[in-house]
Amino acid sequence: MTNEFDYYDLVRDDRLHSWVYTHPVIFEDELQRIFYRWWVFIGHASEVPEPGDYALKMIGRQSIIMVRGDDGALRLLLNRCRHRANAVCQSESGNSNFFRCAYHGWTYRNTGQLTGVPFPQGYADDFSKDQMGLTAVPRVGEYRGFVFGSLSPVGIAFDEFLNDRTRRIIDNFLNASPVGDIDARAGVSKHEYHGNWKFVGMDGYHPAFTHAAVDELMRQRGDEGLRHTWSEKSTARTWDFGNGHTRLDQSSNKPPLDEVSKRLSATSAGKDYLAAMRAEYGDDAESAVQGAEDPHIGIWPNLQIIGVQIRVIHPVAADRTVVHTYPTLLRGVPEEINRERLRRHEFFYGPAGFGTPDDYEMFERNQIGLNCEVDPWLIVSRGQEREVRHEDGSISGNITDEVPQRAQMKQWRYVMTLEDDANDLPREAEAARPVRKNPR
Amino acid sequence: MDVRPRTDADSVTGVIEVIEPGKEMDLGTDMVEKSADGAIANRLDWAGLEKFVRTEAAYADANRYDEWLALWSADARYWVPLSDDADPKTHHNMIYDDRSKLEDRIHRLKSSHAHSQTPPSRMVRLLSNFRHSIEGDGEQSVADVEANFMLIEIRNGRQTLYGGTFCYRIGLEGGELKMRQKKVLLVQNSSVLGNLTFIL
Repeated sequence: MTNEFDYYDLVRDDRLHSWVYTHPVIFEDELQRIFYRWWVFIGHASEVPEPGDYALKMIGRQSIIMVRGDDGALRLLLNRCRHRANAVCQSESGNSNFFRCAYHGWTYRNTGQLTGVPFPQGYADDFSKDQMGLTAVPRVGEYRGFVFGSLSPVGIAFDEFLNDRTRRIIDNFLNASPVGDIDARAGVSKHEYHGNWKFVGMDGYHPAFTHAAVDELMRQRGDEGLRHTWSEKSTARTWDFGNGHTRLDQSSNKPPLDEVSKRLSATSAGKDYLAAMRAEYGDDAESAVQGAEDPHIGIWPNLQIIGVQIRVIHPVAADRTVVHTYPTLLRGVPEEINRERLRRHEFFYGPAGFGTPDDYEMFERNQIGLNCEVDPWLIVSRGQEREVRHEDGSISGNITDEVPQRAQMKQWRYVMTLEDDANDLPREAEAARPVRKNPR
Repeated sequence: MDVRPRTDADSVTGVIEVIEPGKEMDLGTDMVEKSADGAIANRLDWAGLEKFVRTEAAYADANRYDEWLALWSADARYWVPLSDDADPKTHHNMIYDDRSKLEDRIHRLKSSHAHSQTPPSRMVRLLSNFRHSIEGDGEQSVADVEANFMLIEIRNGRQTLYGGTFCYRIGLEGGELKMRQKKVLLVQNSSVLGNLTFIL
């Protein structure tokens, strides 16, 4: 799909044009070029632990069955009968040996293989069931239970997409479990807002203002308010990890480690948890617990790991987004530890939480403002002059700086202009692109 | 009768008109039967329960946060699960407030920083298909009341229709009816939801 937009003109290093968030043609182009081509997060392996377990997922408008076959392998299959395209799976999740199309009775194994076609005499001799299984997502990548897929058979390798720095943060998140594993089956909340999908960004500038009500509650209770972490004076940092992956790193703001042991030792469940962690991590038990707190990482384009949750961003339209949130449970810990984890999550997140609805309110107000196009530019230059470039190519900045916004949109521009037959185009070639005029 | 929802203008000026229950509107009093000498009869009956539930609905509709909060017991549980049978030990909820968090929720709603309720939702809810059962005697008696509901909510020009079942557990505290639990089973609880920061 081609269009007349020049994404290098709309996405500049210090500013973004409103159309990037409002234009329906650009939105369709995003589905084609990003969601139907790049790596996107699909789901967590713990959702389908047993042979036959499946969960219905979406990539843009495409329905995907994440299923563990009888052979134990996890697959991503398109929810489309090979005959006349009927969706073969209707339930959000379940366990099944077969997916049977109700329209004409074609039947597939949970491995995707076509096993039954009614009245097969009607097909010519060269009709082969072996060639007509449910179509698999061309590329699947899994890292420690996090399952990604790409609808393009070619492109950046999974290992390169999910780079070292990003993988290390996932490792830290899982280290809160003595067996290094999580369970994403604590329910999913599906929360919609009338705004563009890219607003679910990674923003360290907003908390003290957007979440002033939470800040007030915290201070009233004698806790440090949000400004301890989320202000220009904070030692917390924003990061650009490359490939559009970003992080709000609060690790420098954590209390001393003996407070972790003190907190956990206050309850018998906490003591059991600490003992299990000690058995696995030795003297590093407390730092493993603390290091797992709020990874606050955005894995571009559609995954975030924030607090205890896996958050998946689903673009619906230029001005409409659905976010699926899966708070995770730790494996190998007392039930009370997970219960506390869930209650902590409920405080801030979800459609009736004290935090997320105010974020989404901001995104909706953004969308209103964006339609005022006389001066169409959004400014993302904050901290551009003081960001630090590291040896491995990553960039960091003050927690209030717009390092993540620039990182995500730089990646957006790169992927949106990547030629279909040149997914591995070197980034240096970016600058050489001809500038086209944007249509009015 | 002035059952006035908090309006846009209120949130700008920060002034919320407080209507004394029982003065301009007949809500919030008389929920417990009194004997001839004025003493409170320590018992629940259907007439009292029905009035209590209707009052609760009216306060919620009108965003009368303090009066709504005053209907709750000390062991309050305000609960909106993501599925009808989700176990809160192993599953998260949209709302799972104990008394302290419920107070935080109301504090937040009353502050000038609750952006997702600025302007506030306008609501009207219809309650129907009441069922109830009462157990125990005197101060120890507890009633379970269920009612199906339809709730129309409008905010920023967007109208949303919610439906489901309100499940109340109502007991006596100091001789007054108090809500010990309100569990809201939304028919759309496992579907995509928008801003649910108003009182359900």
